[in-house]
Amino acid sequence: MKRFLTTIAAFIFIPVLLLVAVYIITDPYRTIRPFSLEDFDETNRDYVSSELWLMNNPVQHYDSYLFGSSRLGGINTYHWLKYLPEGSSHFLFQGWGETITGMEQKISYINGAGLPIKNAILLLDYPGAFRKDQNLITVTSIKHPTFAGRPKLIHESILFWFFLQKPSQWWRAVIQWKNPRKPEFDFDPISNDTNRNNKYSDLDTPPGKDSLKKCSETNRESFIMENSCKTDSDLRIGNAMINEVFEGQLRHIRSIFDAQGTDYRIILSPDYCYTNLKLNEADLKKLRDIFGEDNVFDFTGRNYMTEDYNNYSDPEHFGLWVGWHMIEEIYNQEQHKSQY
Amino acid sequence: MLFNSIEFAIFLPIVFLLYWFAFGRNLKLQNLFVVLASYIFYGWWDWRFLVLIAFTSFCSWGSGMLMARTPEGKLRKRIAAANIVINLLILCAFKYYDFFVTEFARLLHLNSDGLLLKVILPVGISFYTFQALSYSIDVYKRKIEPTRDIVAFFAYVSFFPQLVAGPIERATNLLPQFEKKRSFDYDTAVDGCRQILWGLFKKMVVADNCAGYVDRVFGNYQAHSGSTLLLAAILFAFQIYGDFSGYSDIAIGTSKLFGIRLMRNFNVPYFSRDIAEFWRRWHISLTTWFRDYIYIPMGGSRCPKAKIVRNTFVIFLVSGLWHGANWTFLAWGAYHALLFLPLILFGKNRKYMDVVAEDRLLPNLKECGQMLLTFFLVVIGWIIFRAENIGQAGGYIAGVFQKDLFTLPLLFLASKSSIFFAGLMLMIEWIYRRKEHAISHAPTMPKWGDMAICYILVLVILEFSAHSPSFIYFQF
Repeated sequence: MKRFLTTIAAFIFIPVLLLVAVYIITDPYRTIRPFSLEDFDETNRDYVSSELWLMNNPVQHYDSYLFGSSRLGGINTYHWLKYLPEGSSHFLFQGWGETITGMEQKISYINGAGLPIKNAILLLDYPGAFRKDQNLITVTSIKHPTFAGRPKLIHESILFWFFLQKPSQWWRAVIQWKNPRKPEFDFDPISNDTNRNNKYSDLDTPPGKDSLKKCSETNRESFIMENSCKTDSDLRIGNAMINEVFEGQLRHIRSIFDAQGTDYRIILSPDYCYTNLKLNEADLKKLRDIFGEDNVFDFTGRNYMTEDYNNYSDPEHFGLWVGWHMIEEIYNQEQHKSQY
Repeated sequence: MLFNSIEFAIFLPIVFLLYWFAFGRNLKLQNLFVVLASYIFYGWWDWRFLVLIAFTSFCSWGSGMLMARTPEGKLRKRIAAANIVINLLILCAFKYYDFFVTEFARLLHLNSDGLLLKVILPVGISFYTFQALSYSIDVYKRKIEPTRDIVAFFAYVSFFPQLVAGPIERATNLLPQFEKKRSFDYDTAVDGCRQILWGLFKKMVVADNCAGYVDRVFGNYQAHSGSTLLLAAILFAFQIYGDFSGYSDIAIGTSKLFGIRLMRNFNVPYFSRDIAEFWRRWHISLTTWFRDYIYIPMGGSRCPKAKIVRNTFVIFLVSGLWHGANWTFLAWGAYHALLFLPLILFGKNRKYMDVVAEDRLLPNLKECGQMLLTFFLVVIGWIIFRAENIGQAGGYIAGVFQKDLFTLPLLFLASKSSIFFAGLMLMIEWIYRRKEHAISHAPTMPKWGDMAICYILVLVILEFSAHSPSFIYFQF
């Protein structure tokens, strides 16, 4: 028995200890060393956004925020700026798979620090932002320790746990140990906008019919599969997802906005792969009760945005044309309402 | 609790250490601990159904005790029959009642809504019920002495590695192991760990990677070409094999850690040269159960031809029904009966008892043809098995044999990796087809070689596993 336990312990713990050393030395997610725009890791967008905010805010004095997930990649803040008062300083607070919990943490932190939130858009993924497990922790979605109020050591332990489970990360960590990491996409280091060089110029002309050809193989696969899945599916109404916890968080956000006199909009994101899934009426009612009828914009289900895959870069991410239309609709409601 | 979950990764070492160190010196306590651990394992899913397992165990143990005190005769037969009826009634209530009521009501154009029980199916009910039944039948037939040790019997019925998806053990094999002191054996335990790894590879890498493609194609089969449908059906064959045999490997490997030997459940079934050989190699514990407790008592193949036909159909239809309350499972059973029948009628069903290409590295052309044909027939069967209903099964099979069968199927990154890993599994199983499991220790292999294989498997599992919420056979 002793021999067996020794063998098993050696089999498991020797490599794990080695990997602990590799993790500490190589800092694969660039979370141990101080944040630098010259060398950072995009695996966790929330971390990058948060570090950027912590670094810039003392100088930039942000007062306008876009909170949301990777879907924010379909919004160019350039289109938003014309609806912001002159002199506003805006920041795009993006985190992969952002949830209501994550948004509330950030808003609470900013408010708690006595900083202004004059303008805000909350882009809620549907159904993603409402998932039951709001504390779902993955390497891509774990929240920044400062905003989540989590000790740094716990944060690193969680990241190490994920690191441990993906051997490809081990090699990547070693290879990129001393090589600065370039971000996978360009973004503005002040506003955190990922579309600073990527503007859509014509609001009346949809993207066209070639977008599928431009997709990566994975996205093309998703499009074909999702598209074929939709062929015979009727519009479904999603289950009510806003429970007491979410409601409490949303009401807290509202109370902060009220105290700050924030001009805010709540958007329910239009997703191509959920074209046939419409937000539950009970949830919509709750959101409108909390934030007011005129501040909640539901783009879920079938509409002129979601019915054409050309409007999307992949089944879950709308493109700039959709993002622009949403901005126009939420600030200019009467003009575009007929298009729902 | 799933074998491929963090909970089980914590549960297993704790149970292992307590089993050997805290309770190892007292057999009764050790068995009691097995029961407790098994009930925790099962209760993790839904503790309410523990009552069912306990009731099944108690009835079967009690009937054994009563039979021991009763002389040969009608009363003894009635006791055995009563226990069998009780167990089957529970199984039918949970698994078949709603199905048959719905079907009868449909036949009579009645509304069945008020008559349905609408209860969820307790995980593994078919497995532990059959295990309990085998004890009663064996005691009745005096193949085994009834046990007085109620704790050992409860451990036999609920032993956690094989509680929810088998192998379905016989009392003659498993019960005596709980009645005598177990000793720890290093080589067996290490081999158990290897078998667990191999099972995890089959489940998490092969089966779960195939699942994504299979689910999407079966979910919308009308939209796909014949070649895509065929590819999805082939991948389903690997999914169900990887899933179920992977589970069996983990169960057998885990049992070895506790000094318990379970029967082999799969023996390279996709290298079979005819359907009869396939059924000797697929889900062996269930196939032999049906053979010993239904087929042979009905006369087996030693009776007039009309009866052989009847017996063959009965055993395959019951086997189909065992998998679930759906016409597709019955059709799947009937399909295999039709394939099996010519072999048994012409006395060819025991033609291939050895492993294919026993003394050679590669099979000859004839063997290749036989294996391919058998595999193809099995794949057609899996389409019926996987379909939601008979209409879908028919539509799917018709869809396979379209003009576009000879076009390129939809091949994406995910499907390519599924094909790669299924091929890899097949290749490794071919090379080691004579061994108990693919990565069991070979005398010629140095120690570092064994270690390297295990590390490679761990890396592959970590890197390429896909996540599936459950095992396919849990629903049976």
